[in-house]
Amino acid sequence: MRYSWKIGGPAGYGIKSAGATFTKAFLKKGLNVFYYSEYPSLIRGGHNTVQVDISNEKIRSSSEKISFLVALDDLTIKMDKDYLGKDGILIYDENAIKNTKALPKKGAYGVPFSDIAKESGNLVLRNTVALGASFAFFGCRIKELEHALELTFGKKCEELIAENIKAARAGYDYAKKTFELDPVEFFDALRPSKGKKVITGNEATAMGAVVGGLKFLAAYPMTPSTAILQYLAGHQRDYDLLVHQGEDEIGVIHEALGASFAGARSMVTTSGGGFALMNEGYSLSGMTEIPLVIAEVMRPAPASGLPTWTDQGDLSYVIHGGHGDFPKAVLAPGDPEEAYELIQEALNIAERYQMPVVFLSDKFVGESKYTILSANLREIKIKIDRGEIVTKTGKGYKRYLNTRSGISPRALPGTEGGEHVANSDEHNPYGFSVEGFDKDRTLQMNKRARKITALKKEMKLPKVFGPKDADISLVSWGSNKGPIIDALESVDYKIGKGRQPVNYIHFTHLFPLPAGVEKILRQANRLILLECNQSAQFGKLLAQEFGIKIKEQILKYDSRPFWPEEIVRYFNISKIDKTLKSLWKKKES
Amino acid sequence: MEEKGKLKPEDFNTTNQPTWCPGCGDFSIWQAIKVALAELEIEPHNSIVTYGVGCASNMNNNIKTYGFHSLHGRALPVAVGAKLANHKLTVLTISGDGDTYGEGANHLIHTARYNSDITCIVCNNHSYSLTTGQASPTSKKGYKTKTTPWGEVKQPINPLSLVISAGASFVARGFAGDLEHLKELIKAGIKHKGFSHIDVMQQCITFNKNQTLGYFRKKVYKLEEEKGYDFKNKLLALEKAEETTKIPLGIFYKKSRPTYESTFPQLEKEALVEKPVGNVKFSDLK
Repeated sequence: MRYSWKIGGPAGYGIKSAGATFTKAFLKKGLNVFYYSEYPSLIRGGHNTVQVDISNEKIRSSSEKISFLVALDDLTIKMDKDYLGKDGILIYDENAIKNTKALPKKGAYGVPFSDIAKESGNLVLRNTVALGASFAFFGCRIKELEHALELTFGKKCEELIAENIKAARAGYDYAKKTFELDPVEFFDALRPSKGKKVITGNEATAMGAVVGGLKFLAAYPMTPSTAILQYLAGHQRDYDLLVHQGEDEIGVIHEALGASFAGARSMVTTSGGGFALMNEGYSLSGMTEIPLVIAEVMRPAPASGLPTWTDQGDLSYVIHGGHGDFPKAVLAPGDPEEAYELIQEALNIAERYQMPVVFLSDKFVGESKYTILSANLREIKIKIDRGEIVTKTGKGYKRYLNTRSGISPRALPGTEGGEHVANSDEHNPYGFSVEGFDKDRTLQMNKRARKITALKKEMKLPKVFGPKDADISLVSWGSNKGPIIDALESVDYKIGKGRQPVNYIHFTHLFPLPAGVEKILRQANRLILLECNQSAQFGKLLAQEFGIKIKEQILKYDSRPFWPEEIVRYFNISKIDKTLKSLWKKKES
Repeated sequence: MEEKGKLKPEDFNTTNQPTWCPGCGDFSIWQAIKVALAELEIEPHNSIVTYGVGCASNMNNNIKTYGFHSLHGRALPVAVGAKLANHKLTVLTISGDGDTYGEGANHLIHTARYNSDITCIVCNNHSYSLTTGQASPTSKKGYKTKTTPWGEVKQPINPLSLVISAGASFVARGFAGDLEHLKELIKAGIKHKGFSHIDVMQQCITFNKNQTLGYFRKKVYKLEEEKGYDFKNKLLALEKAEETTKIPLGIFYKKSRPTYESTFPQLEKEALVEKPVGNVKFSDLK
């Protein structure tokens, strides 16, 4: 069973804060929650929403259907009422809504949020009044909300808690007195389970980086990656690492390369536009063989695109980015647990193979709050591997020694006898620049390329969710994992009118793809590719690497993540119309 | 056996010969750097020199230290990162005017502002010489090149007033025609705690026919020989930086302020690279 609660209003109305309190209250009840936020790139006004999905089962996505919609303004009704389910309930601020004609005929309840807030002490409390009213509609105890408010405002002051509790109660009492409400029994039927917490992909990335031995982060703020920078900046003294906010992304990547050259385990964080500026440094990392992790949290592009929304349109770019041929790796997390694990793996690969590694996340996994068990993260144990570092050198140390694996042991500055040039020019084994046609060029190109051969062998194969042998196999990567698994679980891995067995092949290690991928895909009966980009970028990669062309594609690039319902719906539309417009517009009947 | 601790300039030589034109100012700058490092007893393995891209930056093949030949304009950010990672090492950057004042100008402004403990040596020949002599950000108005056939129309950058304004704590100008004086400036720059900017007037004998060695010789004079000059006076320094009829050499401005690295309490006890890696477990996370 799954419910969704969505609150919407202008920026500055405390939408996120209300969403966070709501999340805490239901997490405390032992339920699973999923917090997803949509907001424009501005500080005041606009249409800001938080949707919290709640279930007694594990959930990893935001649903299309809204069970409870809370509107603090007209715009929310206009934008979101069509997503209300058949029995959906709209609770709106009677004082703020001007266009009453837009209200749905059934299930709309007006509560004077603003008046009640003012009576409680301050108009800004209207979000808390709305929370109180929501709890009455759910048939939940007000105590649970009060406790969550204490958690939210605990660090601030008692006065603040007191007035919020007052406002919450007033909203709760008003709804109880005014409306005849059927409590949603489901919410109280469950016993709390311990150890649950909510975490965003960005938080998990930052935590994983710390545990993975990160010592130096250079970054320039860019939505939606900034939370990683902020977490690490705030904790740098606790965990004995160093965070440098640089002058621009070009500076940032070179600062990280300088630190890595000197021996610090280094990373940069950015989004697509920042990565574009980092491109020459990406290539420089490849040429100089200096380890570097680039955490790229995608948002819709081209150019500034939609800064606060989600997309997977940078995959081809990170694979093909940087001028020239050089080895690189790309890993993509599907949820916070994978983010926590893969960022550690990325740091290891970067230092072991002395190459740039892109950790490719996106806004959906980066900023959504997933319910996890702390134990899930605790159990992930990746051994830190710094690769080959020489502490003593004989005469004539060769930094770029031609080895079978392609990996040449590094000497770090300060090591006597290890002096060398990390060189952006093509170089000989000592690192000195060479000119023109020279045996060193081919030798060094081949040496660097051999690292990819070795790396391919340890890139992990995709995970298969659902029955091993299925009629239909969905293929995807990254944050689509949540909506896809939720969709398939909702139909018990049997999809469409024929209830055909279906599974999901989930990729995390995107480049270089290990050879075993081909066999897995060739064995499948019917492949369907799902991606949040326009040009099926992962599909193109599969075609390029293995000649496997997945013709059936579900591509979404309207800046939102997949909803589980639309994945299920795809199989229920009798005449499959593959043009997106009709697919997305077709409503659940 | 030789006495330990007596470094010679030759200890910084590599097996490669420079590739500059005979008579290039880079030769004396190269020598000045090696002598300065030797006299300061900074061992090759305890120093990092980062280079941009250009004639001067091709020095990467000729100085035996840890070197990082980076990209055009990027010698400074590489140095900033390296110094943060291991502030116990001496970090120098060598680049040209096109590199530092053009492609990398933003890094220059900000590195000056950070006050990273780096010595930034800019070999300023007022030309893009490696790409065969186009106008650079410091080229004089009217300078005729293949890309400015009717003469440069843009106002040149004044690197010294730029970095003084940006917050550099040590700003000097040297001259490739006065090796001894330049060496002393480099030594002072390395010894100074903070961002030391040394702009070096240099002839390009192949492409810049206006600003020749002789031209510079006639115009230069030394600030330290001028009575009453006080490099602690920022306004006076800016005034001197703006001087055009003559070319002042020496330390224009010097001020003590905390280095960027010293602002991190994490680095009080040890360098970042000396810290244990893998010291934080999941259960330690707050």
